[in-house]
Amino acid sequence: MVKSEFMRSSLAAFVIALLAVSIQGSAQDQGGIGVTPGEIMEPELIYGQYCAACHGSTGKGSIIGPSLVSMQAKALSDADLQNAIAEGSPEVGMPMFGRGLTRGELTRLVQFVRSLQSNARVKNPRTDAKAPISTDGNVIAGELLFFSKARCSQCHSVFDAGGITGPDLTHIGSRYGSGQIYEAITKPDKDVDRDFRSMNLTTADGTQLFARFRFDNKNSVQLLDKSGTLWTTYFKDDVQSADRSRDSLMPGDLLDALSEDERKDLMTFLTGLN
Amino acid sequence: MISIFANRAEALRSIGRCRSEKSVRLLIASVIAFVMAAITPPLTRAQDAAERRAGVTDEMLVGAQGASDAWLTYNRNYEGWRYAPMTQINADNVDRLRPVWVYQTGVQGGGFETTPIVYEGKIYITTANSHLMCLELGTGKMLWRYDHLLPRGVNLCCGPVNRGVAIYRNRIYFTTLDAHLICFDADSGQMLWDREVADYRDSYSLTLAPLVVKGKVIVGPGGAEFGVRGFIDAYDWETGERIWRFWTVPAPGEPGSETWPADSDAWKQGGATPWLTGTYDPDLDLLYWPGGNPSPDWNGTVREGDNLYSDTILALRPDTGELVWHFQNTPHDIFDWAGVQECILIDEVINGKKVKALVQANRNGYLYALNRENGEFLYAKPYSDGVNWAVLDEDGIPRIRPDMFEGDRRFACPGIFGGKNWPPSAYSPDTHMIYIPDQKRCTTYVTMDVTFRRGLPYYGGIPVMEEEKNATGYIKAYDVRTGEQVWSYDTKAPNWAGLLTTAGGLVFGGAPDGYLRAFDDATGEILWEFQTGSGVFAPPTSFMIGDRQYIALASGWGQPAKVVGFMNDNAGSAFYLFGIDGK
Repeated sequence: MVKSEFMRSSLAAFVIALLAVSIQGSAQDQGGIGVTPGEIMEPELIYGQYCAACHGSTGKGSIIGPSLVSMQAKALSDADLQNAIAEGSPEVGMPMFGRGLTRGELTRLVQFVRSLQSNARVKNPRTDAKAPISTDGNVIAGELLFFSKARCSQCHSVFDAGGITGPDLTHIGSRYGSGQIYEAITKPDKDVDRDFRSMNLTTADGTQLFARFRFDNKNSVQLLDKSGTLWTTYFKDDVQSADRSRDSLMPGDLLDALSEDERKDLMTFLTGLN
Repeated sequence: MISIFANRAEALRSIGRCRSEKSVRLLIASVIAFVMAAITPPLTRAQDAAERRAGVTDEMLVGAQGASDAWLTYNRNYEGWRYAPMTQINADNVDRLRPVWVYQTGVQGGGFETTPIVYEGKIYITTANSHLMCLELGTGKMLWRYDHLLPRGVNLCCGPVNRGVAIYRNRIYFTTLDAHLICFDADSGQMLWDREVADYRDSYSLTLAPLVVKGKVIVGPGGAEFGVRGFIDAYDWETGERIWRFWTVPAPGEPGSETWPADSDAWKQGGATPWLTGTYDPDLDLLYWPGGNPSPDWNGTVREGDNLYSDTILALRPDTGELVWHFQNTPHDIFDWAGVQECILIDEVINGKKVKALVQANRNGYLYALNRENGEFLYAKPYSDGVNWAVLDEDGIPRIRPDMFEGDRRFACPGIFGGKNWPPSAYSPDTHMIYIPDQKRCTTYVTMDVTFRRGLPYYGGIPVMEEEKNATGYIKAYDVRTGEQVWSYDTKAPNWAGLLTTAGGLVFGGAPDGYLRAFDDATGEILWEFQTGSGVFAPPTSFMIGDRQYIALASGWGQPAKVVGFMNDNAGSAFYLFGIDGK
């Protein structure tokens, strides 16, 4: 009895010691970046020295890092954006900034990126008006339409389901109002996102293509193939003509195929994506 | 091993119970068993294997060039040639090369940069994200693999890549992105030891294939983009104990420290990380291992001076790490021209005199030849198109044009990736040529203020790549005796693919368009090509299996070059073995 009492108390002491060590450890880790209040950096400075090298001084991106002012980036929630910065992603070469920046610095950096997004020049800003379609339809029916009759998912994706010809719409409702979404569906040519430009290309054998364009240089040009999944390279030697287009790849009459109720359901689904 | 786990499980359960005397006895017995198991060397099986055969010895590594049925060290020989001395595959039959097998690693995200090690019927390859695989050479069947569990937040400047393993005795040495050096039994894949070379939370990383010299496993980290202090380490092959460390940025008071500001901590964040495998001359007993770019990359104002040993070819004693001589290619670099490119060791007639030479296609766009006995400068010739940053000093050594230091914008060619980056060049003693994978692209460097914070990027500027539309790449052949170009092949995009020469009169090299090609080594004529399905980074290798010669290649595009527009940039990671008629 005495023996087991002793065992129990020493076990308890051991556990307490262990806890103490781990608490001390985590306290150290929290202060691990060792930043004093005087060293807190302004978001402009943080952006300039840590972000601009890859994402460009205005956030438009470079050959190293993607644009931060694209529709894709705008569509991210604040939390997702902050998380992407804090966690990083080694597979695309993005460092983990959560280990070196304080929470406050991260939050203010996100706001700074938002300001870059607002400053990014938009030729034809979309309407501030509300959509002429109400958004109190059936969201489940709207989602089914997105992936079927309305044909949205042929080019757009939501939570990674769908195509890559057009922008990802996972958070579209959090960044755009119903009027802007409606206008984007009915007047797609008004404001085509830089990352989703199109090209008219005629190959040497006369085949004509109108497809999402990614890049060209003096030797080659890259388009998304017909399946909408693979980037295809065309060498300039094998091409008759390659002209960038201002037109959106999206038809402007997609809503025509839907009934009034269906339009309402689809808009309900899209505006609710946040 | 199974009994250890059983005892350990039992011991853990016993700690949880601890109720009766019986269980206390059981606990004590278990603890004794556990401790016994722990102190008994767990290497019994490996030691048996070691006794069965000596494995790869020092003599074999010194003579690696002649081992036609193997590829024993990163650059094939210590001297860094990447020259396969076999003639069976040659200009007459190379058009009959076909795949024998293809192994899909399934790993994506980073370029597939591995140089395989081939020994006794096994081939060892590494992939992006710290995976190691051992395949049966004849069939491509996987025998064992190791998948390193990476922690969160491994910061890398240039892709989660790995360039291959080293072999010594019966052991395989593998480096990981979180800066560990790990030793395995070559046959079983059993891990024998695991050393933390540096703290990945400082943003140190390891991507290189180690070099084993006289039982010392030598490595150098990357991390200069994050303001770490570079070093070269040597570890004991058997125990993993560190034998020496050479800091590539000297501390105050040490030789070379006068090239850093006296009154600051700039040296602590000085970079100069030597992240690529060095070469070795067994006769002179000198290791040639260059330091990389200084930190911060593009703002030199916080580190006035030449910044030794950044961008510096170092000649070290492999036993002690003692520095014998050094030659700095780019003093006070403000372009990120990490001069870590392999130093190829050759005995050639240069400037009319037979000399023990070292040639290096440096990232700054110049091909250098030095006397490798003492570091004496022999020549520097621009090999990359449009090199614009240098003036020659009285000895003909390129130095940064003074106006490059004025203002906060400078336009330089080559650009941030340099002319030749890490992809290995190759040398042929038959043609006296060095073959160089080259990138033609320029960069406008915009200098910015910079604050050091541990583990975060420490760039000091923005590289503006406004000339990308004119970017392209080449395979270039240079006569090492004169430094003059003989032929070049336009890869139609910046070329990241390493090279191989053979005694069959061939140069093998991949390209961003996904093709592996064989060229006539004298003329550059294309004799064969094969579409591998993804852009190529890795250098081809060659070896015999039985009485037949084979060519091997890793194909797979990804970081650091997986950005838009690089032709066949669909990701992949396939390892190919090619033989005549696919046999």
